Amino acid sequence: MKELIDPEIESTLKTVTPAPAPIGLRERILKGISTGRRTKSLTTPLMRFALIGCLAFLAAVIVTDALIGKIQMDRIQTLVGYPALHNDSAVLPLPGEGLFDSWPERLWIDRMPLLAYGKAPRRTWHDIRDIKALWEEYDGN
Amino acid sequence: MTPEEIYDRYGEKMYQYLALRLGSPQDAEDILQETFCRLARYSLRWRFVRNPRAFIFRVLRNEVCRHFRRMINKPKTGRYDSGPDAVIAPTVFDRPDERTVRLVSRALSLLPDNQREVVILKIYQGLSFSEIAAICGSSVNTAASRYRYALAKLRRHFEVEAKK
Repeated sequence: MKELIDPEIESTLKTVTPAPAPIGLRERILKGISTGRRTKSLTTPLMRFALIGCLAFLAAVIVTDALIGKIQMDRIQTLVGYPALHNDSAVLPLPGEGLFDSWPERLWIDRMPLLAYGKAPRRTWHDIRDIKALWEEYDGN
Repeated sequence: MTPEEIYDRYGEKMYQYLALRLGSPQDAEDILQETFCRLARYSLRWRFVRNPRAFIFRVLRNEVCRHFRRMINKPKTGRYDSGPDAVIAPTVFDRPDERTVRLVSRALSLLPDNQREVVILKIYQGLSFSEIAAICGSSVNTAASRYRYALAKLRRHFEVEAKK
């Protein structure tokens, strides 16, 4: 590689040297950094206000979510008689366990979507209400 | 590294690189300020940096690219507006009244930006091709090729100038 590089041109270019940095540039640069840091830091009133606002909003979202969840759990428990996080596979009877054995074949096939509902790990109050309505409709039949 | 340490070790070279890249001492000062503000925010990255000089020049180069992007849509105001195709002002060299300085600054201005950058880093900053490759984000062979092509163009330019 070196033999391809022209030494004459390099030496020509090296005969001129870049101008040195202006006097006082170091102080200006370092002063500029401290100014920039202060204006962009989290300690400025505006940034502090924005940070407090964001934290308050986050806390409000978390508390509201927890409250809504608790209200829905209570409604589900009132409706079905057991907590929404109850293991459904233990409650809903499976084929061959005796309860559905005497039912007509067609009715059992119709119940399949209900069992699919029941496998959901956590159901909403609306899901439970729909299931219960369908269940009662079948029981009415 | 603290900003003071960075300036004491590399500040002069950084300024000269910027002056040659941008062709304007005023713009060089502005971009140097922005680069130091950026480096001051990188305090946590230093422990992962193997080659501080290459890292600093890489940050510097990125700042120059940002400046060029900003300049694209701005109207030209003078002869020595900084930009990828900028004419290098003779004042960025130490003795701007000499004929050689004018010749070199004009010759460097004629080079494509990527070749000019390699020449500046190699000749005036004394960096190795591997460091230049790390700064430019290219392979070592590419950096060496750009340098070779640049020297060939400069040679042709000097020959034409000599005949005048």
